[in-house]
Order: sequence, then C-alpha cells, then structure tokens
Amino acid sequence: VFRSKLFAFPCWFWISALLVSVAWSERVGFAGEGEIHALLAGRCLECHSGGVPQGGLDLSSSSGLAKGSDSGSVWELGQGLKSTLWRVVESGEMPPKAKLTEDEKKVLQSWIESDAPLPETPIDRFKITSAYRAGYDWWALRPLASARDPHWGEDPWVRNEIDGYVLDGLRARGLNPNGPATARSLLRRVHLDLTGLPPSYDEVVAFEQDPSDAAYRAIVERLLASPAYGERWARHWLDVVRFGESDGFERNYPRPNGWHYRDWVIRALNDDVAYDDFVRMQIAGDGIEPNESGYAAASFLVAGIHNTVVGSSDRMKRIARQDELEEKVGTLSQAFLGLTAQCARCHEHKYDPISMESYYQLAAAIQGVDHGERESRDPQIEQRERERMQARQVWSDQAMQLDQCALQLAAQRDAAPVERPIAPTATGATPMAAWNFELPNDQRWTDTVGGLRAQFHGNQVDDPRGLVLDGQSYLASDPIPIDVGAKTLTAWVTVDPLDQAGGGVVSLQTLNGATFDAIVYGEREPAQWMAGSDGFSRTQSFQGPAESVSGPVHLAIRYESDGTITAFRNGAPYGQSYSNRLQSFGANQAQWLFGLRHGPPGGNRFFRGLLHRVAMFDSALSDTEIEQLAGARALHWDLRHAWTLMSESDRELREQIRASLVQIDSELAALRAQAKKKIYTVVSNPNPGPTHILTRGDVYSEAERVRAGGITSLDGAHSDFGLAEDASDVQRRLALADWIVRTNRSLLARVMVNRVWHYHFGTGIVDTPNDFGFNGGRPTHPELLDTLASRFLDEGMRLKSLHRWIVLSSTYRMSTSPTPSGMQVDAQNRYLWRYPVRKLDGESVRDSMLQIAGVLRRAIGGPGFVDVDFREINGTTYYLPKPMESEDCFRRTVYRFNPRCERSPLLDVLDCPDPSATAPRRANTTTPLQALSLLNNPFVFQMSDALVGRVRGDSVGSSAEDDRVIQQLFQQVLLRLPNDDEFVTARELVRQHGATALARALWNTNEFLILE
Amino acid sequence: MRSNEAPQAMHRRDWLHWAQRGIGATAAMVMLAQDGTLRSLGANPNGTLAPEMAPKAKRAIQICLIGGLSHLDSFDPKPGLDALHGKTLSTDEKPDIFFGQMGLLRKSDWAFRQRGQSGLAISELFPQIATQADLLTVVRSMVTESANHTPAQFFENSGFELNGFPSVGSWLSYGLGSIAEDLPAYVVLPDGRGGPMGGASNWSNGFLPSQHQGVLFHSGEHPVRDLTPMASISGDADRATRDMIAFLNRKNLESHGPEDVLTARMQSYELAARMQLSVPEVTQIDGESRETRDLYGVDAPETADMGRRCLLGRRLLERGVRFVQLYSGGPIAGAPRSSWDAHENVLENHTAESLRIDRPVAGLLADLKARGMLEDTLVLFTTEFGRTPFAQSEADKIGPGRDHNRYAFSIWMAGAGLKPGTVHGETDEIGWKVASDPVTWHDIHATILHLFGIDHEQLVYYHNGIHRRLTNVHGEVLRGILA
Repeated sequence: VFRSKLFAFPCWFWISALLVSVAWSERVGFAGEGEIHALLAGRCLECHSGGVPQGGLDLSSSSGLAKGSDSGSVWELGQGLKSTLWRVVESGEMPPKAKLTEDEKKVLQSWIESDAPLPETPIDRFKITSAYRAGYDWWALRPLASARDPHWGEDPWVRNEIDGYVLDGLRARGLNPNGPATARSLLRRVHLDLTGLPPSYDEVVAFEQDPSDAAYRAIVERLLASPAYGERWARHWLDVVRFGESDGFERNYPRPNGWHYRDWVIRALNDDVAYDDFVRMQIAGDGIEPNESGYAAASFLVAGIHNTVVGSSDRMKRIARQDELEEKVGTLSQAFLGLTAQCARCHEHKYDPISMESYYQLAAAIQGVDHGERESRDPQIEQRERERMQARQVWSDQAMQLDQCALQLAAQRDAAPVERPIAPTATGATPMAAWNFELPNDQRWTDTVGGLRAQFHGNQVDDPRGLVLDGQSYLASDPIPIDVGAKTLTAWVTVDPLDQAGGGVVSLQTLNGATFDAIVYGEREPAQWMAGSDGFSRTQSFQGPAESVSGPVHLAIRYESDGTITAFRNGAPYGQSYSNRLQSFGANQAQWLFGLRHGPPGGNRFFRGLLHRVAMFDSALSDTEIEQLAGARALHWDLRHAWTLMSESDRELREQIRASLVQIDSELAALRAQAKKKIYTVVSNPNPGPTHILTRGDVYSEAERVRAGGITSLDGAHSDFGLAEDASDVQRRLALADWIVRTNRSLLARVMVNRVWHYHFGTGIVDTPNDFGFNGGRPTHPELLDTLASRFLDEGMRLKSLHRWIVLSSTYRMSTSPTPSGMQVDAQNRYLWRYPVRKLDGESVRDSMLQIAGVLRRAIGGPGFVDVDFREINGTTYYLPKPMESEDCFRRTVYRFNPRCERSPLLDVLDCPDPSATAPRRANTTTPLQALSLLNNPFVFQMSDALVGRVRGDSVGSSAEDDRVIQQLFQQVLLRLPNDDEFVTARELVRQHGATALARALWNTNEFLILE
Repeated sequence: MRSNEAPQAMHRRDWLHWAQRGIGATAAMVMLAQDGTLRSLGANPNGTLAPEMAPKAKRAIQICLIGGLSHLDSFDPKPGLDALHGKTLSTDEKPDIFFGQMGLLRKSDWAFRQRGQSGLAISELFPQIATQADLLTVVRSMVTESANHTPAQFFENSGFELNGFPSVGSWLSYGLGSIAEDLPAYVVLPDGRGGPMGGASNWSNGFLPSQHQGVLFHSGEHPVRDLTPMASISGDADRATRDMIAFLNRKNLESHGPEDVLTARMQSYELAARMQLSVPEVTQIDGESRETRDLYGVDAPETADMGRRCLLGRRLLERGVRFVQLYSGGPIAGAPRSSWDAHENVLENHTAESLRIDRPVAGLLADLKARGMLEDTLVLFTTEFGRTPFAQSEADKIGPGRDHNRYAFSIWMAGAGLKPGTVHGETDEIGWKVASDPVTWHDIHATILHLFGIDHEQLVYYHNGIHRRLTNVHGEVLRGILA
C-alpha cells in the first residue's frame, strides 16, 4: 500500500521527505528486504563487496555471506545473535568509523534474527536511493515531471508560471510576495543583470515616466540584443569552466592565444546558439568544425591548469597525467551534468551512482586531449598568400643583387676596412647575412646585409658588449629567402660559464627544427667546439682543445660542397677536419637561430654567454679569408654605409624596391593573420593509448581496460560508446559530446536552467549549481525547476527565451524591502518573498565605473588588455599588478588578460575567483580590505577624476556651477537627484575638497555597490 | 519578540566576514572555536569535546625554507654517512630525485654536537638556533610526495600538490578567525629577494571565501596594498569623504529598512579605518629596544631582512594575528641561488642562507619564550623536502652539491602543547630514507589543527561535491610529540 502511494507523489517529494525525517525505521517505507539492502549498501558494501572485499568478506550476496571472511564464517543460519557478524556490529567494531545508530542496529538485528537470506545476485549499491546515498532513481536523474494543473488560481500577481510556483511556495509558508520595485530599481536591476552595465540617468527618467509592461518588454528586448549581454553572461560561464590564461603550477607560462575561447563564448551567447550545440562545440568543436570557431570552442577542455614541469621520474609523470584527467573529467561532468564524476577516481563515488568504471570511461573519452596551439587555416587566403610570396621573391632577388653590388663597390673603394666598418677588400666575400649585436638595442635585430629580421625570445638585457644569452633566451630570424648549400658560419662569442654543455651559438635550421647545422659548444665533449647536426648525422669530433678563454673568441665552421667540414678558432684550424656530406636548405624553408642549438627551445640547447657579432656566408670561404675575418673584430658589413657610395638613381631604385617589399610584407602579414590564427586549444594525441581502471587511483595498479564511454547510471544501460579501443581522439570526443547532449536531457536542462536562475537571483533553485548529487542542495521549487527545464527543451534550448521568461515575471520585479514576516519565516529568502539584496560583482563595479566616468572603450573581442607586468625569473612567470591602469585597460573586465596566481588588487578583494578550479558560485564577502581598495585603489581616483572632468566640462568654478556638478554626479552614479540634506552636505564637501572627493564618496556608497 | 521588529536571523557578524568564525559552508560540518572553547555545529549536534582537544595554541608562526634544507647537514646527524664518505650507494633502484645524477656518498660539511639539557643534536650550520635546542621538537622522519619544488611547496602548504587548495593559514583563519578585528587573520612576509615559486598560490584561500587569503605585508612605506591613497590628498579631505560615505549610507539604510548586507558594509569602513591605524603601528619596529633589535639582528646587514620580519612576526602575533608565515628563500633557480636549493654546493649555499636566518629565528624563539608567548604560540620551521646523502655529480665523484630528497627530511616545531627538546622518528644509517615512524604533511597538518583544538576530520568546507579537508582523507595526529 505504501509503495503505490509513494509513486503518487513526484519523486522529489518522497526523496526530500526521506532525507529530512529523523529515524531510519520511520523514514523508510521499504519492505524489510529493501530496508536491509539499503542498510548494507549504505554502511557495509563500500568495503565488503566487489572483486577484492576487505577481509575477504563479501556481504553483497548470499554466496559471499556463506563464504565468510578470511578468518572464517561470520554467520550461519540459525546462529542469530551469536554470529560473528552481529558481535562485531554490536560491539561497535564495525563499521570502523561512523558507527551504526541504534535504529540501524535494530534493522540489522531483526534481519539476522529472521534468518532471511540475501539474494544470489549481488546487491547493486547504486540501485536505490537511501538515507546514505543517491541511487539510479535519484531525483536529478529522473525524467522531468510533467506539469501539474496550476492551482494558484486567478491572482493578478501571477504573470507566468514562475510566479505561480513561487506564490504556491510562499502561501504554503504563510508569506506574501513583496510589491513591485520602483522603476529606477527595476531598470538598474535588469540592466546590470542582463548586461553588467547600468542604465543612464535619462533612461531612468524615461522609464519612470512610462513604466508600462510594454515599455519594460521593449527594454528587455533591447538589452538581450545588445552585445553587452554576451559579454556579461560569458563572464558567468568563464567562472564555471575555470577559464584562465596561464598554465598555473611552477612555470605559470602565459597563454597569449587563449582569448579565442572567451570570444567564442561571447559570440555564441549573443547569437543565442542552442545550448546543446554550445555544449557539443566545447567538447568536440575541432571535430565538428575544424576551423577557427571549432578550435576556439574546444579550448574549453584545456582552459584549466596544466603542469609543464613534471620532473624526471615515471611516477611523477603518471600522477601528473592522472591529475590532469581528473581535472578535466571533473570540470566537464560538473559544468554540463552537475555531477561530481571526479570523486570516482580512487573508489566508487561515495554518494552518487557513479562507478570507477564510469569515471575511467569518461577519462578514456578525453585521454587523447593534449594542451597546445593550433592554426586555423583558410585555403583561399593561403592561395593569395602564395601569390604574394612569389611577387616578393622577384623583388627581393633584385634587391639582393643591388646590395651585393653596393657592398662590392664599397669594398673596392674603402681602403681601411677595419677602421671603417665595411667589408674588407682582402676577403672579397660578402656575407649573405650578418648581425652586429654591439649596436644599440633598437638596431640589433636586423641583419645588416640583407635586412632579414629576427625576434628575440626570453630575457632581454641592454648590454653594449653584445647579446646576453642567459640559458633561457635566443634569437630567431625570419625565413631565409634563398637556397643555401655550401656555407661558412662565423661568430665572435664569449662562453660564460665554460662548463656549460650543448648550447648552440649559430644554427641554420629548417623551420620545424628537424634539420640543422650549427656551431655547438661542449655537447659531447666538455668545452669542445663541434659542428652540431640533427641526430649527430653530420657531426664528428674535431678533436680540438677544450675552450679555456671566457672572453671573445672567433669561431668559424666551413661546410664545403664535397662534404668536408672544417672548424677554425681565432682564424686557425681547430682540430681536424672531416668528410661527411653537405646538407642543403631550401629558400624560405630555413632560418637562423642564435643562442639555441635547434628548436623547439628547451633542455640543454640554450647557450649561455655573450654573442658579439655573427656573419654567415653562402659559400665556403678560404682559410685566408677566415683568418682575415678573425683578425678584424671591428669588421662588419654595413649596407647603409655602402649605399652612401652609390649613385642617386641607384639609390632611388633601391628605395622603390624597399617600399614595394614593405608594402608586400604588410599585405602578407595581414593575410597570414587571417589565414592562420594561432589558437590555444586541444591538440590531439595521435595515439591516446589504452585506459585502465586504476585500483584505489594508484598509477601503478592497473586493473581492467575500459573504452571511451559515459556514466552508466545516466542511461540505465552499459554506456560504452561502441568505439574501438584505438579510436582517434576526435572520434572519442564526438561520441562523448553526443552522449552528454542526448542521454539525459532532463539533467542537462535542469542544470543549465538552474545556473541561469542562480545568476538572476543570486541563489539557484538548487543552491549547488555544480552538484545535483546527494551531497548537493535540494531544489526549493522542484516543480518550477522541471517546468523551466521542460520549456527550455521545448523552445530549442535558447537561453534568451529563458531570460525573457524570468525577467518578465512578477517574481523578478519585486522590491527588495525587508518585511517582518518575511525576515521571520525565511530570512535567507529561499522562497523569494522579495528580490534579494545583492552586492555587485567585481566586474560590474569596475565596468560601471568606467561607463559612468565616460571612459569605457567598447571594443569587442580580440586579445585581452593587460594590467600586469610580466616578469620571468628563471623560467617562472610572475604577473605583478601594474601600479596604475593605463587607458588601453579601460575595457570591460571580461577582456582582462586573466593569468592564474597573482591577480588584480581590486577584483581580488571583490571576490572574483582565481581560475584554478570551476567556480559555480562566487564567495560573497564583506571585508575591511574591500573598503580600503574601494577607497584607495588608484583606479578609483582615476575614475573620480574622469567623471568630474566629464560633468564639469570646460566650465569654471562657481557656486552655481558646483551645484550643477553635484546634481550631475548624483544623477550619473546613483541615477537620482540629491535630496535637500544630501545637497547641503555635498556642497560643503565640494566647497572644501573639490568635486572629486564627492565622486570618490559616491563610488563607495551602498546605493552604488548594491543591487536593489 | 515584538512583531514590528524584523528579527535578525543572521547575526551581524555572519555578514561581516573578517573576524568571523567560518560560515557559509552549505551542508558542511564546521567546527567553531571561540577563545579556546570549542563547540560543534551542523551534522554533529551532540558532539562533545574530549578534554584532550582543549586548544593549546592560539597563534602560530611558520618559517618556510624554500628550496629544500639538507637534513643531513642540520638536524639529522648521520655518523654512518661519515663512515661511508666516498663510497657508492649500492642500489638498483632508480630513485625519484630531480636531476637523476647519483654521485658518491658525501658526509656532512658541518660537525654535530649535543645541545642544551636535552642533548638534542644540531649541527654547526645553525649555531644560534642550537642555543635554543631545549625548546625544539624535531621531526626527523618527514616524507613527501614530490621531488619537484612547486608541487612539494603546495603540498607543504595545503596538503595538495595542485593550485587551488587553501593553505594551512587559510584553514585556521576559516576555522578560528582573527583574534583582532583590525588585523587580518593570516599574514605573509616574503623573503626580501622575492616571492617563492607559485607566488600567491602558496598562501591561497583556494575555494574558501577570499578573506581567508594570506595578506602580504611588504617592507617599506606601504606595507599593505591600498591601505592609504597613493594620490596626494589631505587627511581632512579623506576624513570628509568618509563622513560623506557614512552619511549617505545611513540615509540609504533608513529608507530601505534594516538590512545586514548594508550594515555590514558600513561596519567594514569603520574596521578599515582602524586597520589604517593598526597596520602602521604594528609595522613600526623602531620603538623596539636596542636589546630586542640586537636579539633579532635587525641592524646587521646579513640578518636585517629576516630579522625585521621575525620581529614584525612577533608583533603581529602579539596584536592578534592568528597565523604568520615567513619565507626564507625567493625564486628557486639562478646563480647564485637565492634559496636553499643547494644543487651546486651545499657548503657555500647553506652557509650563506643560514647566515641570513640563524640569529633572527633564534632571537624569535628566545623573545617569545621571554615574553611568555611560547606557551600558546606554535613555531614551525619547515622545508618542502630534504637533500640526498649522495652528491649530485657523476657516479665516481663526490661533488659538492646534493639533489632533492623526498624520502626523508627534517622539520622542527616549538611552543604550545609540544614536548620540547625531543626528536620524533628516524632515518636510515645514511639519512636517505625514513627508517621508522614516517610522517607526512597530512600528519603535521592534523597535529597543527589538533594543537589549535580542532579535529582535522571535522574542519570541512563543501566545494564541488566534496567536503574538503586540509588533510584530504589522511592525517594522524602525532600524539607522541604532544606534551
């Protein structure tokens, strides 16, 4: 009888009833069998079931019970209370930690006394919900309840079903809803809530004059259509997905191309993309649309922390890998499904029906995800790029011929080459490229012969002696525009310290770093020079002496066309030359590196010391030429000087070519930026490898293998995706995305509508937006939640419809006034007898100040503004807040470059979360540090000055003028006029201390900082 | 209750998250303590307190040595290692160290002596701290999970190797609040040479509300950021502005009706004003006597940085700060090193680092003792891991440096509720691995909380599906070292 009654109620009803009642025996309506199964499942089977039960005792089935424990029988039929099983429970020995309550003991006792058997099939711990844990029938996992007939009747307060359910809840507690908010409050509320920016005073006045429903609707439509809507709501989502723009951990490298994800979210929200598509794109966007948009969306998976220093041991590598998978599984299961699947990494979920198998199936689905950058490509633009490259080649060949002429001419004319920095007559050879690092910093980076540019990476030091290479830094040139076969690499260099190993001084490498010829120090033999090459394929020992001079030495390595390789130190042959083969490098396929053996940067490839000058020749110089080069340290090839010797008409021609090249280069740069965008996103591991369940989460205890799959309890079936074990990363994630959006749409919708509700009202219908499991909150309005979710699904999962529904309700439009009955019955306002009094979040405070002060820059998207100074110390990046924001920072806070660890002083105290983990709701604190920041942070002074400047204009000070300024300041900041006594007080303040003092005061008022 | 009054369902202090006693944890059991008397709330309404849980410590100061102090050269004498100097450590094991080079065994560069009444052995590396040996409780059997600095530091601070978890000081702030309302509960004083790697993540509040984050006190004129306006405005203007704020807030409150959110914010401005007075007062160490300054080495160039910070630490504790954390060591890498990370040369590195802190730390102990503060103040002297008994060099050499050792290291504690002049645990003959009573950070954290009267299994905060603890699911109180 009880059972049939049970199901007459919606599931949420009996579950919450179950949870709030007091004693086990009273709260459970199960027949004896269900009762004992639930008790065993909740209190015993966590240890005493499964493959290797504790003490060998399996209490989940009759055969297990019959087998007993390692130390013998625990219970024979008829033994009753004399059994070992009862004795250890009775004495409190078992369970070892949380003891059974008296009521629980009674249940166990009556079961043992009754000799009732256990089933042969093991009890499924996840099957039913009990006082201990959630089962497959947990409220959040069940289908949406169909709406019941509304019984709130005809009430003028009820504008839509939201109001009906809220009114029901209030009446059940003897409460009434508050009356409507004032026009000013409501307008400010809906503006800040939907767009994160306040209305203007004029908009307030207009709405006060016409506060009709129609006017309000029009305003809501305008706000939802505004780009500011996406900027505001993207910030909420970025909290949930722990979006940060640096790696965290030890190195905490910045991710300069991480912002694409933020822009994608803003665009998707503004375009009102269906929520299921929004989800799918974030899990497998790179597979669905392999372009800029898809890559940016999939960045969700790698938006979290990433350990780039895992140490040398196998154990540390494995742990780091598993930690990273847990972080990703946890984020995606919480963000989309409100389930804490990460809790099942080391043991079955203690509270929710999530097995270790399910956890590792999810892990297998994302096993192939690596962090990295990808380029999005556009074939049409790439074709145009190729065409322009060909044109560039023609021009640059001409330029090079002219330059060679100039240099030769200069060499002939200049008598004293060493004194005048120009190519020596004696050698006759001119280099293909040369850099002089003794030039000032602004002239160092360009090849003085051909104008090839180079980019410095690392810690830049201004040192007139040359390029400082600290073991973390290097210089890399643009691609070399000509083929290089035989060659001579030369450099003036200081090795410091002498006991370093493996650094490259000058390297000619293919752009991917796979093939290279380089002058390398101490790599195979301590302190010896060698001709480094890929895999030592063209390297043999010169058997030269160890380097002993930590001062400038001249090094040259000559690569002849017959494969002979010879080194020279200070002009004299260094050790023995040897025969090998010549490596050629194709035009535009190779580049110069200085200070790095080859790319990618890392390991022992960095050189430490000073690089003074380098010159590279696309020919094999003679011994004499090399000796002369070594004897003339001051020598360099200054094209600018050479051209002063050429005729006016030649110079004009050269200038025209230069201008053309500049033009083409800028076109090319624009094309490249369009054709290839670097995006920080998922990089697929081509061979994700098998996934094992790890017993107790131990990286060395590999149990059975699992394939990509979902959480079994969500679809009631085996949730393997049916993919082969060697399925590609993208196949796995496409399957995962489909599984998430198709399998349990009730849960998917409930979780998202609850998030939206949470941001509109400060607290969700379920107050733990990331956790709909046993440990999370219970819905205050379960029917409302299901109704919202049903409607969300029916209307194509469009967020804007949901917002519209919510903000048009009477519930949303209530005043915040405290009432005695409301405070007494429901001080926390969980049943919404009023609109909650909420503090503005940090972003809204900053954005409002910028807008009101009239300095907000509305540029949408693109790289974020940077309000921190980067400091890289020995490989670790530190982000130090700048003392004061510059004007290019005056953008909406969502566009702030958001590194982990060190953060913005103002935003930090205003509870903006550190993006280390998903933040489904923000802390809400009031501290003296907040007050201090809002009073004293330089930004507040900047905004006060800007605001006063804006309202004062060019007017001169006078008392009438002061009154106007006071009025204006109140209108701008508080959206109202001052009343009489406020006017008097403000006048005094402004007279004595100026209008900025009043502006600073207004920013600090509750009226500005709190949303009513 | 009169019906025309709105009841204050939540006490004002609940909204004012400064000195408050941890709230806001949904479905969480929260242990609350007030002036040494604990009571439990939440899911354990009948929980009674065992007398052994009576708090011994009211406040703590932690000196974190960044880089990895060599236990073999400081607090763990190994005559067995002296005997094996220059021998090979015969093992087939591939140890989990950082650079992976295993040179020959290397004896300590410092002589050990028995100190004080207790006879505790401390090396000549710390001659001044050694004079306080009878106050120390040394744990020689520490083990940790990672031989990599940043994860090991995070583990030392928060019990997790990842970013995003609250540190010990944050948990204490959450559990106990500050003793004084006009100073933060948790203050961090970084090495003058720079912050440790991982920066603010080391003193992060993680998922706890933001007021539990460690507040950095810098040296110089502006010890706390935004304490005073950087713009030049007169004291009068500043006061008049605050009066205006208070006036407008009062008017607003009158028209709105009683509201905790509003009054809490108003109150926070009053506290801010008090903080503006108390911070300069506490950081002003010029008034300390000549003897005290000498005790800490404030005026000697090599000890000035740490001396000032140790003295400031004592002043902060005196005025009600719950937890002060000092760092010895800045960024890890670089030459010369600015931390204890003695890969290249232990003798040179540890000599230089010890010179900076030996006198100040000894002075701090002596001063706390003399002022009777050591009774209820816990002093912690910790490092993220130890160093290897073999040199970091080629296999046939006795190089001058040592690599990281996560299998064994030493820390010490002193003060409130501890057995002084004692040693807990031991390492093997050469100090490579722990031989008995291995102690984890979780155990140390459990013990710290215990000394503050908190059961580490009860101090929890709900976050993303889990009732998080400082000790995760581990931790045993080290009862053997309790007085």
